[in-house]
Amino acid sequence: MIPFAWYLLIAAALFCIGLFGVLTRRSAIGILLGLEFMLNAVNINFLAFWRAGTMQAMSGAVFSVIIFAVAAAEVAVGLAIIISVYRSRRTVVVAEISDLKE
Amino acid sequence: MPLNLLYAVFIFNAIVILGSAICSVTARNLIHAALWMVLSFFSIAILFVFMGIGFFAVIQITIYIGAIAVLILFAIMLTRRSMQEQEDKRLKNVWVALLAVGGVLTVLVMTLRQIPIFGESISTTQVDEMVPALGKALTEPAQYGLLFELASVLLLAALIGAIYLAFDRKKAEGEEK
Amino acid sequence: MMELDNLVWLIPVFPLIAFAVILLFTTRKRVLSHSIAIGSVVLSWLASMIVVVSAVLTPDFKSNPIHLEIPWFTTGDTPFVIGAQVDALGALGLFFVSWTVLMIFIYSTGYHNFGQPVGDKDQPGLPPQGAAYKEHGKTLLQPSVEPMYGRFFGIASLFAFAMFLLILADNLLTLYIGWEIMGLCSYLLIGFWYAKPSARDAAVKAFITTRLGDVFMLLGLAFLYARTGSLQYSVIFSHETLSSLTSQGTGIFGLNAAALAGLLLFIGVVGKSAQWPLHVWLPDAMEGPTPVSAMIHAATMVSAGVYLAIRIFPLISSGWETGAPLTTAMIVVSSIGAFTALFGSTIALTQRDVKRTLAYSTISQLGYMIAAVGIGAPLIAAFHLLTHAFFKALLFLDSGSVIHGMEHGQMHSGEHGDAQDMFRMGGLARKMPITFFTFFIGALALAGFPLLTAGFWSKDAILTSAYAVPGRIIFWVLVTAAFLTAFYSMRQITLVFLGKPRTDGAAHASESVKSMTIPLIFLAVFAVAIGWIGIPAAFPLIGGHVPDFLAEFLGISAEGEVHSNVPLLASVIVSLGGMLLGWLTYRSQKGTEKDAIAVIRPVYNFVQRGYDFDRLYNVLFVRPAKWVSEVFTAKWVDRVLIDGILHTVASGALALGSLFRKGVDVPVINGGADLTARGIQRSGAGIRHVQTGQVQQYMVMSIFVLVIAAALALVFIV
Repeated sequence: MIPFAWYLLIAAALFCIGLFGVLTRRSAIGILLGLEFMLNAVNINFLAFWRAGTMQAMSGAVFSVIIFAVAAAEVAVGLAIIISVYRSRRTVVVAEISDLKE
Repeated sequence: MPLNLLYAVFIFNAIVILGSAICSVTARNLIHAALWMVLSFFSIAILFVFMGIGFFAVIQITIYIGAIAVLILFAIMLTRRSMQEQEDKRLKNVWVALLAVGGVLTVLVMTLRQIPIFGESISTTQVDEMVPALGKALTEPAQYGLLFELASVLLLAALIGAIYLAFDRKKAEGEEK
Repeated sequence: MMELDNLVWLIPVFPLIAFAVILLFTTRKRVLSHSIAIGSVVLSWLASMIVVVSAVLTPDFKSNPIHLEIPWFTTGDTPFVIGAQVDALGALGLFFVSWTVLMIFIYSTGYHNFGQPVGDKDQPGLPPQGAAYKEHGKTLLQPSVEPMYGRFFGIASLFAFAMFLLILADNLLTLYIGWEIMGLCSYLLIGFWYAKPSARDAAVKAFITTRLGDVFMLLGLAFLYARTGSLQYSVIFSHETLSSLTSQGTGIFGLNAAALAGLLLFIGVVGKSAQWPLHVWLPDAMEGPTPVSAMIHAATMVSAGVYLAIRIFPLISSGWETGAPLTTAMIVVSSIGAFTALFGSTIALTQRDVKRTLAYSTISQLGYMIAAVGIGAPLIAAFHLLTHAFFKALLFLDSGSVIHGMEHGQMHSGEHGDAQDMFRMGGLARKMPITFFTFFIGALALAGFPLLTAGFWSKDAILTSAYAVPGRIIFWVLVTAAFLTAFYSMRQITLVFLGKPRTDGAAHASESVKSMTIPLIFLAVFAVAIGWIGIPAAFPLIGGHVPDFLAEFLGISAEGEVHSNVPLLASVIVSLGGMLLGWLTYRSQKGTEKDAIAVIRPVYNFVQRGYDFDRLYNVLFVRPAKWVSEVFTAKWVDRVLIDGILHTVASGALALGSLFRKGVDVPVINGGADLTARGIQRSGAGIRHVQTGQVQQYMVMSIFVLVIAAALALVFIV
């Protein structure tokens, strides 16, 4: 009996918090943390929508499962990269890894 | 359960989710940030229970906390220097980012209100009977079987990639010598 | 008669081609120049003679003249037609023009000393000064050839073209074209020796004075065209046009339209034929070489004025019938003519220069012809025109011969002095017999020696007509003029040829070359014989035995002519008496200073200066004009006003320019450009910081944009 809107709002808020983390963190791992929150928020959203409907179409749930898998895979790879970068440059501070600068 | 109690618990849970999330993103120490994140994940799992999809709550705990959070903790420990470092947030950045984020939130909310079913409720009844259906949906080729396979391929690729990237050649060569 | 028609329009063409060829190609080659010129004039003469003879032989020619025309351009609805015509008057004109022009061209070769060596100090623009040669150890001078020999023949050919064009014109426009071209040639030839200031001034004077007349003539042409829509003789002088013009009043002096047009055109005649008050240019025109004086200022150009006067007689005499009192226009014309006749002859009495005497004589004789037109006897004026052309050309060419003889004598004796002064001559009859003989004939013709000279017949005819005019003022004026004419003719003969030479130059004079004397002889023959074609039927004794060819040819009617013996008697007495008196006065002229008739010196001098008309015009017109141009226009308007405006504009523009530079260009434009550049630099430097290479910052920015876009989308779309 929880209002559907509350779920969505929670998801939205969480998403924004995660976004804040991504934009603000110095460390690459810190960014990854924020990213995980964003993914979670998306997941909640999907499931809330799926649950609010008839649940006949399984696509909502299926997609949510896939998101879980993808998030895990992404974290693994991302951390591998960060560790690799750490090895060569001895830093995980994003600002110092600024090869995109002109 | 009486409705008011339900709401109260739910709201408490929501506060925990968001609160721990905020603490996570603002923590100076990364380990602390990771731990706060674990708490947040757990609360989300409880949220799933509230939704009535306990299955996903279990998946959430298993994957997010069991795999992802652990992995992050390991990574933090491996990149040790960052543990001692102070998070030096540039103040200017913070406010700008806050502004941007505020904007996103506003837009999201406004968009969400347009949804027709916004006003409805989700029952807290557990729907465990959907699990077999979900399993079928995932594995049957007629439905989302392909997607499932692709996800497994993706996991494999990630696995290989991660191993390769994290492989420490120097150490390995050092050991051989 | 097809060949005849072709010949007619070819007559002016030959000299035109000669003009072009000579002036473009052969100016430096003497033989070629004069051959082309004389050749073209011979062809024109031949063609003219053929036309004239056939015209004379055509029965009733005056009713069917030769007429050719082609359309030229279109004004409005009607095409403007030009053409050529030879009527009786035209044939007459062709006759005397072709003969005199031919004789003068041949004479010019000798006059300009063809065959003589080039002078040592001779320059183009000055008369030839003579070439030195050694004889018996002495250095003597001989006449040298004219440096601008070819140029003379070129311009003279153009002139011949213009005169023929005028004679053959069948409309007033072509006539005016020929008129103006002749004016140009007159200017060019009077100022032939352009390095002489007196020649230059004389040329300008001639041009401007005749121009004044031409302006009014143009007004007359325009007026006529406006009223009748055509300038063709056949249209203007047709009965209907004339009567319609006569009936239109103009409100100016009570003249009708025809008379007004006629008078306006007549003013052009006054200028061209040197009548009073526009006579002042002709005496000064003697600055030109003598053939020029003969051709232009005696035989042809000034005759063109009389020719026009005769042509427009129907306009001048509109509303008049024989025997009626003269109309206003006719009174004006005849008064001017008669007055000029007397006026010119009085001045001719007092001249010392042999050519100037003849110049004033020309003025006087033209006055005769104009008077004849004015009293209603245009065709008799044509008769006098014919005879005068011959004997005046003869006289002028003779004077040229005399001057050449004098110059020769001066070169021989080493004397210097005015070779044209009659009082320095004397006794030339023995030295230059052919010249003397022909000059004498010419003088007799001028004086109107009875029976034997052409001048007598034409002058007598005029006096007869004048006698028929009620009031007879004009008659007595003309008689007085005739007396004076005879007097000064004899004066000239006596002073120049008779007696003993008064100077060394005269003593050493010699006869001129054949190329000069042979034309003189030809002209002398005409001076005698040409009068015999017009012996009136009513003449006592001879009349009736010799038919009056001219009267028949021209259509002079003898009706209403009561041939009184008074005019005849008067003309005989006046002519013989004048000549006698002239000879008596001067036969014992000694010394080169005193003139026997200069009894009251101041009066004599005054008359000699032409009654000071030159001075009068100088004060009235020349000096004010000079003042306007020098002071008013040049100084005030040009320098002060116009230059002042220019300077002000220039400095204003400069000031404006610097203002713009300092006020706008440097601060605004330069400054703006610099500002922009610096601004861009700074903003670039500032914006550069955007590209930090920090992904998070990029993300923030992109989120911002996303938010804004989403908000907009929400607001507008959803």
